[in-house]
Amino acid sequence: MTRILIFIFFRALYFPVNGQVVKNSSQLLQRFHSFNTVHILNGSSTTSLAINTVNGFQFSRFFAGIGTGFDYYYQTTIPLFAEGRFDLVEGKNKLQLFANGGFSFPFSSKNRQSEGKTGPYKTGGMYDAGLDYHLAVKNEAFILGAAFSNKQVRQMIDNNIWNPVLNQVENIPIKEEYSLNRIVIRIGWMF
Amino acid sequence: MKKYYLQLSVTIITIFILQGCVKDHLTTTYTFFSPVYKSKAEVLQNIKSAAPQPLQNTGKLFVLGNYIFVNELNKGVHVIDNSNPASPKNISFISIPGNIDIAVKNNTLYADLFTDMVTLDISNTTNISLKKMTANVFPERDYQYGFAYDSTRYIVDWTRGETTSKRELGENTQREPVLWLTASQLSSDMAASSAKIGVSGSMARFTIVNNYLYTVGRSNLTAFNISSSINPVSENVKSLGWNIETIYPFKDKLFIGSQTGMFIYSISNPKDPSFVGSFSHACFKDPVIADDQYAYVTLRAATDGASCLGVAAQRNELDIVNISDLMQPSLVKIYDMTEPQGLSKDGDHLFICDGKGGLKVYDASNVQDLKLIKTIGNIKPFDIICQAGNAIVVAEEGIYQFDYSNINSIKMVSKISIDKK
Repeated sequence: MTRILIFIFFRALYFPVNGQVVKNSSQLLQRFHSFNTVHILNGSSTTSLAINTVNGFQFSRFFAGIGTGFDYYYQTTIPLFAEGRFDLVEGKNKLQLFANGGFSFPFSSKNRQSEGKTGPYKTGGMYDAGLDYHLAVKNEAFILGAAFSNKQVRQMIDNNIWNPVLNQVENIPIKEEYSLNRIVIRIGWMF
Repeated sequence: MKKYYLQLSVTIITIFILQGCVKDHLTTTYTFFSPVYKSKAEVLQNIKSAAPQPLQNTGKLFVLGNYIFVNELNKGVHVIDNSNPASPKNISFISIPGNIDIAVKNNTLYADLFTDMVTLDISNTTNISLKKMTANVFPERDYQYGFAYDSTRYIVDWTRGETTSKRELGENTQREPVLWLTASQLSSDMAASSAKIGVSGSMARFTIVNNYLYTVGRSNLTAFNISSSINPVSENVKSLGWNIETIYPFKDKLFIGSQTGMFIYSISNPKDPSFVGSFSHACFKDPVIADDQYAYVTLRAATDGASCLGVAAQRNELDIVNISDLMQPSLVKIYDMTEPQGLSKDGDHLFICDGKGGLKVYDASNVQDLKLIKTIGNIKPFDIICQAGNAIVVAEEGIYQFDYSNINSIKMVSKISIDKK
């Protein structure tokens, strides 16, 4: 049931983009896949977790979909991205090369690393690239993968300083842009 | 099965290959201010009346006869012909870098120029000229915002820039030597730079009594003998404690406002001011004026979160202090205010610049029960001087003049707009 609901949602997205009319829904349903993974993120600052869901359609050896999730590394963000996959090795079990890119939305306005740094967060970018190994279980698959992941976190930090031109205290924010690079171990389920 | 092991191995090897790529980086972009210098010779050569400039960041005000001298913070002095208060004319500008305070006696204007003091002949306001530069009389101003001066040049302006640095997260960095001070660190400088009015103005740091010019720095009181008007001579420097803000003369006394209290000094021997009494209060900004029996002190809460003696400065009030016994001043009454700053008194009428609360005019014939006569809203005044029915008010929006000859019908006479940058 869940699969059908997700499929209906993505079919609704799919049609306007491609402008096509797919007559055979069951055929399309067979092409639909959902990748749901838990990530162990290891970077130079910390080790943390993320969860992702990517949903889309498989065409021959290619897959295209969109994904979102939660990324708890350094500063919690919500990624929203487009993802492409290519089957490097086909078979019952397969090896997939994948890459994605999109936006990284701040989840909280509080700086988790330094509470003294106040000020609004801005949307950053994000991308991942890596390999997934699919271990087939009936029509579904267990996923074990590895990837390189980057996300950007931007904050405009409040900074009240004396402005000698205006002769008054002024909030001139400091822009901090974090580029967080992580190695990801991915474990999940594809259906 | 062998094939699957191979695929799994590729996945694991990928993890190790990528491990070297993972470094978190932080890119920081911040604004800085850098000083623009000019040689001392060039600066001194340009201290003379020049074409009028628009008022932008006005500071203290000094009224002498038909002229108003308005400090442009750290830039110089505007000269305004006020022979017709209904139509004041901005007639010239004197470029004095680093200028914050001014005082005028007869045809001589005294102004600070960072650590130095300049004496100007203003007998002809269209041809003002430099008569003397007295070096290093305000040593505490030997730096500005972290920049020390040297003996050959002055800071004449500031430029604003932006810089970006990138580093690995966790690395320590050292910023370039640029202006980077927090608001609280600069609170003392702010106090010195807030807009003020001279001639017994409540927020002045220069005042003249007879043949002496008295100046207060952050921690001291200096007496200059100006018997020879163009040749001021520093005769005495008294240490007062820290965070001194204002000086106000009344008869043979000087009322000195600090962030923690009011000090009273006798100038019966003008060369040697002597401590008479003090009145302590909670912090903060606190201009003071006085009459025969009472001193009026406004306390304003810090807007930048600064604290004083470890306590957040949060009070906005007018304190009235009985000074009939100068050695033991005593608090008479406290009145709540909105954002009080400068104040002035003419007869029984007390004028208080209450910031966003407007200009308030009180009947102060009974200090136990001040009666509000009028509030002039829609302006954010910060200092005032009242003379013979004419109130000159410095506000964020401009310099206003009000006719209060009929206290029940105060009328705005004119306004000089301030063209904020």
